[in-house]
Amino acid sequence: MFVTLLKEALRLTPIFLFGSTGETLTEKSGHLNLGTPGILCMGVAGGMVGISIYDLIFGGFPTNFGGALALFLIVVFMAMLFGALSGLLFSFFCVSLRCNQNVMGLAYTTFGIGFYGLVFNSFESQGKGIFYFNEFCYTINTLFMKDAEATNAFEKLFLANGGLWYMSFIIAIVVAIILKRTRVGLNIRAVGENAGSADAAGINVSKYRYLTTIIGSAISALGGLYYFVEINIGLLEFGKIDTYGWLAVALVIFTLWKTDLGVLGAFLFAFLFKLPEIYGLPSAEFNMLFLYLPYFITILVLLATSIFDRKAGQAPGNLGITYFREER
Amino acid sequence: MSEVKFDQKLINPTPRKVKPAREKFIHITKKLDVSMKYKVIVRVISIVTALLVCALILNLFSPGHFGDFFSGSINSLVGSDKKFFNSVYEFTLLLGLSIAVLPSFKMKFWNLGGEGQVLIGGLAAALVSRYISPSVPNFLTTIIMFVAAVVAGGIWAAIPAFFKAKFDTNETLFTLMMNYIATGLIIFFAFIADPSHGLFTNLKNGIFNFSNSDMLIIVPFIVVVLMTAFMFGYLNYTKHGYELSVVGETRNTAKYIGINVKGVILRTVIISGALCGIIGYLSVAKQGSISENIMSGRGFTAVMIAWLGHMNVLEIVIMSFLVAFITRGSGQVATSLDLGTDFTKITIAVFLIVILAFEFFLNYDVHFNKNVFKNKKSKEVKE
Repeated sequence: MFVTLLKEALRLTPIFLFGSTGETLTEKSGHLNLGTPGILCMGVAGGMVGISIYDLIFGGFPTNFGGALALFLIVVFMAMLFGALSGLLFSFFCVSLRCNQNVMGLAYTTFGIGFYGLVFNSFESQGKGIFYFNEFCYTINTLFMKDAEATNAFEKLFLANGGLWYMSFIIAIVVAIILKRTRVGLNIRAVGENAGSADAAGINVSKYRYLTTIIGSAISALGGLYYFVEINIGLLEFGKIDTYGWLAVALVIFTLWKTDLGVLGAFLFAFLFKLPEIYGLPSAEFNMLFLYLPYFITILVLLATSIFDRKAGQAPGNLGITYFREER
Repeated sequence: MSEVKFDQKLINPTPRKVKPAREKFIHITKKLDVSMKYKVIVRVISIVTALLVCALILNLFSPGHFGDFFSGSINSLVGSDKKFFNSVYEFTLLLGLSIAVLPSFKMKFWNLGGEGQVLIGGLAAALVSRYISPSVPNFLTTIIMFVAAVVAGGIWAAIPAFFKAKFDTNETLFTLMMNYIATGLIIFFAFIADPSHGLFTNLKNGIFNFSNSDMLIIVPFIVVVLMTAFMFGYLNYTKHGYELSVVGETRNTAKYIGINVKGVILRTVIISGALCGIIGYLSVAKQGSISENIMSGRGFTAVMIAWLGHMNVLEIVIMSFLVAFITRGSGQVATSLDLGTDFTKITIAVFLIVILAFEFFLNYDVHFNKNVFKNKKSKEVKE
């Protein structure tokens, strides 16, 4: 039973992890991108488009390893492209046009949810309904799996996963290293802490904000793709994905803007999310309340960091503030 | 005296090669004062553009229906009595929510928790209606429900406000999280009220009960109009309104002229929450039920309306009307063209994003520096 719980929690982890890694990268440069739930939706839409592109070019399911790999790459590319375009739009509005980030983020979330529904709807009206994506997604999942019939607990937990699962952890660690240990990471953090000082030091604020937002959004979009491909295996369950998106935003605070801590945080969120489902609390109403525990814990962390006022755990100084050089 | 020898290199070292700063073609400066006429013109252009873009998107997904967006929207507004009243209700909700979050925004307190405050207010009203004894006279139940909703909404807003005032906790994220906890509480109490289905429906005590069903919409409308009038007066003609706008402009100025900043933050946000609670009460009293998606994202839309309405009551009224118009209109068009219910979300978002883009022209001037090209040419000639 406990192995099942761990397995389910680990399976859910990458959604949060992709989302929070991308959002952390964006927030470190001072952009509070509340469009993350919308970007996750765009990732799902990108996945759907990617699969249909593969179907259009090669006509049907991949039969060999090469075909499956091509499918995997096309789908990942399309999801990241949709995410990156979202990031580009967001940074064009918030860097070049200097719009308010909160308003733009909320508008983009609304847009993303609508767009994903519309894309799905248009596939459905072409006769490519819910089951159309199922087989494709199954192929993508089994691509990097060692063996679907895992025997011991270790294999079940860590080796019976799709390619995106491994990617989420690798990306989180890589982003953490870049932010902590490299010159580029230092510049990103400088831009996020105090854009004015960074500008005076000769760092191109606009360039860094554009880049981090675009790359961060591309990473976040993979969270949506993961949900679509590996958790729902191509089936759509409407109205869930943006909830995961808000939890990813919460996770950024929970992990104190560190993506390596994000690995643990995402697992903890997933664990709490799955706990009532697997074990089952004594009554349905408490089961329901339990699902909202991650939000509550996030608030506690938010409070703790602000009350103890430690420098290390604070939000980036210029988070949510649009930079205009000539403003005093 | 011995001659001092200067090392020529020290005095005049070989100059470091520095890239000359490139002149930029586009130069942006802040607009200092904007005339009313200019504002109105930009606004009108932005709204017309936004509507056209929405129609274009409809045309993209079902070609040949460019005009249907406008005819459908107008039809949804005045097509029939029922449609008209539904549009009025949509307008009522959007306006009410925007007005409710307005004071906290004017104070630059990012209250994204309007939706949660509405839900908690509604939940309090629903709980009173459910568990109060039916022998209590109806008008008394109504009053108790109303008060419960106002108090609950106020308390829900006071929690993040308290921590903002005391510890400067980030209110954007705090209020956002509070929304979901409110959602959780509603589901929780729905399961307590109805263990088998988890539906909080069929409330009877203190629910609007009019022989004429149009009154169901007229009463909330009147309440929201009163709220709007109250907010107009409160923000423009009272000391409270002055204080909160100073706190919004600069915290320090407010402190130095003797305003109790923490108190103002707490008071303003509580008023915001209490007004949200009223919306929650109205929604429950109209429908006789509550669920976690009675607002279905309108809390966020209201935030955007308040911002794009420049915290100005009149502009907010116009913006709410336009958004309600688009919501109802694109909903109807999408249903008739089989585009699914989510098409509405796209049109609202696109409409607001286009207007947001036009904000740029209200705040900044763009100068094109033609010398950039001239200098290049002159250099080439020299070489």
